[in-house]
Amino acid sequence: MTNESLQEILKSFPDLQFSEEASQFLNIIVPKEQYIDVLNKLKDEGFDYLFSMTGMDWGNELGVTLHLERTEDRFMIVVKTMLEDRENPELPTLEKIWKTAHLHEREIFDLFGINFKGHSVMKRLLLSEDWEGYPMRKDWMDETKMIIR
Amino acid sequence: MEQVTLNTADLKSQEYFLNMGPQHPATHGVLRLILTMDGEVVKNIEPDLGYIHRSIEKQCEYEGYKQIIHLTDRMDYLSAHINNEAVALAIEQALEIEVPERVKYIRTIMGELTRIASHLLWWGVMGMDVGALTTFMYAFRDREMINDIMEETCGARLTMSYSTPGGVMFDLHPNFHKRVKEFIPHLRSVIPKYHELLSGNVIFQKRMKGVGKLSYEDAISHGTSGPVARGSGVHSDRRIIQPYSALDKADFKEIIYNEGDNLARYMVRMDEMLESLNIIEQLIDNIPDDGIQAKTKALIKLPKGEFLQRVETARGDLGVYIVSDGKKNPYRVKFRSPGFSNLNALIQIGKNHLIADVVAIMSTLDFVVPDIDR
Amino acid sequence: MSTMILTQTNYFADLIHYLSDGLGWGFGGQILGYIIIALIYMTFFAVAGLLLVYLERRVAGFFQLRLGPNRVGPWGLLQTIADALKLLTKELTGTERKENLLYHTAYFIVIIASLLALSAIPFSGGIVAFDINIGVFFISAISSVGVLSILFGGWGSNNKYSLLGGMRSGLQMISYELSSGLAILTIILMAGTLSMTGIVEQQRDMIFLLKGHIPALIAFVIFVIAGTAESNRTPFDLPEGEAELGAGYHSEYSGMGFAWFFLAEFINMFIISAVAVTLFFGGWLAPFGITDGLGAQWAWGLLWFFIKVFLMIFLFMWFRWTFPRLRIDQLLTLEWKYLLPIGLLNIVLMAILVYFKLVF
Repeated sequence: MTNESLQEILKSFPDLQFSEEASQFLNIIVPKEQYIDVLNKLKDEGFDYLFSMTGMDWGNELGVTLHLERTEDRFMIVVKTMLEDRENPELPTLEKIWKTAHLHEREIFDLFGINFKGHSVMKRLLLSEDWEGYPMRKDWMDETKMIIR
Repeated sequence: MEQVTLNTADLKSQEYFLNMGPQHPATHGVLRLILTMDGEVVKNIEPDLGYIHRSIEKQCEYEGYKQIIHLTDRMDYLSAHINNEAVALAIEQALEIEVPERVKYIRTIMGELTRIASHLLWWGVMGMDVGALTTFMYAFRDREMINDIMEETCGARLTMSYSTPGGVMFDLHPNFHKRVKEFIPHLRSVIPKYHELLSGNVIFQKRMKGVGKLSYEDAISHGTSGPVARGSGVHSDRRIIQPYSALDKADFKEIIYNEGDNLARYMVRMDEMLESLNIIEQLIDNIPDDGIQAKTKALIKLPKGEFLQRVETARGDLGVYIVSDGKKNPYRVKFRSPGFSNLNALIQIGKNHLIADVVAIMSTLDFVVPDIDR
Repeated sequence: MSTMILTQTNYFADLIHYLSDGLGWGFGGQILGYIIIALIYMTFFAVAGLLLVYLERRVAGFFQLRLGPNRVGPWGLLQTIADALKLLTKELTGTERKENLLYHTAYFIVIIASLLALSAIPFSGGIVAFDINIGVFFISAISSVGVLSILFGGWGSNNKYSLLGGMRSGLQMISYELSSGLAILTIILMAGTLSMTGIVEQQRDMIFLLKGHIPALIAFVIFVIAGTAESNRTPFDLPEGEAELGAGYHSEYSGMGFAWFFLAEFINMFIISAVAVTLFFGGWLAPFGITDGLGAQWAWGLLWFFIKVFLMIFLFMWFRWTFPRLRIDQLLTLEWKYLLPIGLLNIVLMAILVYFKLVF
């Protein structure tokens, strides 16, 4: 599979932005509403290895960056989603599509605060249960725990 | 007295929670598992991480690129050198620096030595977990030889911090060549004895064969990599798919076993040790002599963009994902650690096994908990 | 049945006779005699326990290509005394809501059982404290009492890990007592007597292992396997499986409570080795009768007995440092599906051989 053939396959989804600059893989920016449909389609096209799921804070928006790979021909793409709502960000869960998303989404919920609807165990993973705040966000500041030179 | 009849249909057993707590001889670090048990059978596993979370990713956002490397040692300390190599390669890929050939050879040889050391420690602890306490001593005796080699060249036995963006920190010690050439035949003669001691033992085989099966589709879906995936038949060796450093100059094969049970993962690691010896043997005599550091600026700034570098550590597929916005600190660094996804597999594999099996399964999945928690 | 002529006198009986009748102290003399014998055995218990712990660590070091303890005392002989002192001065912890009665009686029961079993073993010609005519049966029965202590410890600690360890151990010991009992029975068929001294006397011409050839060899193998299971040693040390349960049934004990469990495990191993040596290898008799003509036969008997027991103990320690451990269901499968049928067939075989006088 190549970048062009993938863009052909995803023609049925409008509003997708493809870009190949500033990165070695094809970047697909998916709006929030079509997130789960696009990813289901990608799974059907043979992208069975979810390499990593990264929570991101782009300054104004939160979001996730997914690295997907096909085991057949080692073709990798990057899928990004942005969420404007910083108070209650929500996304549907990918746990049923790729089982590895189970722990990844718990970690993103813990550190960024994005709620994944439909997840079986939506609890904090690394921090303790009663921790307040989401440390990996760019606007999280704590005088005692952070020493910035 | 009236007669009391007991109807066995009324007897119920109750599930209870057992805490395989953070301090436990078998969990290879501070990992807490909350097991839901029915008698001795485990019904559900819920991991509770975070006991060694040091927020390395957040810290990287405030450090320069040359300083990130020292933080990555502590993530998976058993393959510390390969972690360093991953970050150095990511930065070199971004800046498009061409490192001298000597650096590539040194990095690969050190990486393979680290892999052997990690597998030796895994083997020793595997024996201990299953009950054969002698294996621990034998494995550490051999690992000391590797530690001595590392200490002479890099200055540290465990957390080496040896690679830098553009090269390595120090040149090889004059004794390096001799010591490595002594080590290779020693390990080759000793590994068959280890097979006699542990792998061939009937008790060991009964505890490993058929226990903890992971199918091919589940291995991919859980995102496993490294020996865990190769024990289930998935071709996932990054050294072959996309060779980095000097790996394309050595000829080695990928070890695949298809059964997917504990014994398959065990044999994958034992055979990988011998393959690593092959790689070192092919490279040790041909190290070129063209310098140990490429020219880089004193203050490194990556251009705007995203860079991903994947390497094969002793545990699996480590990914270093750097998002840069042109400043002197990275905007976001994500370490995709192999142990995190392998832990996901444990939640499924461990169901409906006895506790003793869960311990054996965890041992073959080979966690290093700082790698999972970062 | 062959008639046995016991030519030795029993030194302990002589001591009591001397104190009560010889010195004329009557009943008081008897009591004093009993107390002295008890003190001798308790001293032996303590010294043997300490020596066995030291031996275990040395042997472990030998197998693991390292030195054992060699700092405290010449060749590290005083190491266990240092350990005992440390254990004596430790704080006695326990869980909050433990069952006091069960928790505290657990280690006493195991000491009592071990001491009682020790008393029936013939250390040399005439050195047997309790020479009854059902010696072997008595020892086997007393070992069963030891199981109680583990169950008490496991339940009384109010800790899930201890409970798991206690349950596993109870299962294991009850199952393997069957096999060890069957192995002992096989030899009794040849000996015709349950008395320990009688069995040893019968081996003057040839040890039972060779007299009974095939069935005796099978019985020996079964007895060794069952014996390792009885004393909770690897490959059957699931109840105290370190990697899984921390320390199993004795995790909540510290200080002297733990020391008693620890010592009792080694003394149990000693007892099983002693029973194996008595039944299969001729007890305190010299091989080929080499030292039979010399004087002070009781000392030669002691020497041969301890050499043989030491070799058996070395075998048990060899097992511990080489083999991995069995899982609980594999352990039970081994016993109920393999050892028990083989043991029963073995008894039939031995009975046939004895009836047709095919044994030596």
